[in-house]
Amino acid sequence: MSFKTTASQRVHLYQIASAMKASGLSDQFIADAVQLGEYYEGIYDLFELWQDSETGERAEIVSDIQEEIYEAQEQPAKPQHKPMVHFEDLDRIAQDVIGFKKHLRNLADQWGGISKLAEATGIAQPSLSRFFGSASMPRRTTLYRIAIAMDLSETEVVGSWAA
Amino acid sequence: MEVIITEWALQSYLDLKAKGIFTEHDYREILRPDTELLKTDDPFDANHPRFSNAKYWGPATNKGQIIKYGYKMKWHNFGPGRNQLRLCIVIVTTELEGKTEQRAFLCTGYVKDTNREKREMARLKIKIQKILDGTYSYRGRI
Repeated sequence: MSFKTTASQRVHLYQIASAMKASGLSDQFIADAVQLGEYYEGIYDLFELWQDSETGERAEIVSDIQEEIYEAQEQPAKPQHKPMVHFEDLDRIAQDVIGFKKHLRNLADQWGGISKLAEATGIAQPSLSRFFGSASMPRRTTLYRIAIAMDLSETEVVGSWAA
Repeated sequence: MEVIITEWALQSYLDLKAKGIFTEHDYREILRPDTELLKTDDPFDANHPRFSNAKYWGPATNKGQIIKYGYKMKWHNFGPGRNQLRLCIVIVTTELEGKTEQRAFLCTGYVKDTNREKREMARLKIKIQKILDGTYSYRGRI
């Protein structure tokens, strides 16, 4: 038993990808998403949900797919054991992450705003909004894209808690 | 059964904690003891007071179909916001650190609504495949 995409699902995936293109999503996003969707049935399911959804929910689905794309880019080849985070530290880490993202958001607003950042990074705007609004540890992939777009240094964007 | 804390679980807990979905008391008195049941008790025991109650535990489903290896632990009207909290759990036999055995992998925790539920079930299938492939990160065990 596995959750890999079937041939008929792949064909449907390509059809939905065309609709995504027509809706204005970037070629890079669609190409990356299709590549993942050719393997993971769950990505295909997200494509189907996107097709059947209204605008607001579509933005959430695009954010989900974008997160999966970045996760795949940093995916380990075998189970990777990262250090434990104890419950007592959750609050402190969450506050650190929120504070850092707030600072980065301010820099982004001064630089030209979220729309401009989305265009420069290739990260869909709903994904950026979710990124800035979440206390989850940021991915290096996302931070580097933002740093390059805004011409920030490594030390300005990578904290010790980057996922 | 060994219970693995995945990276997905940690990241979702961070966000839920920061959004005030659960308090320290909720975690210590409810969330942690409930998930620790997976260590000591049999989640497939039809007579278990918790695991046999569909209100608190059940298979994950997508479009009416059971997602193999996928389960959900459920908490109703939970925390300060009285939310419908869910925790996706994958129970499967895999190799980890040279030992092949059945384990429970704690995955994403989330506040349920109709749309979120559909998306999380799609994403759970991705996580199951990654666990089967061994392409995931984990933070340790409870």
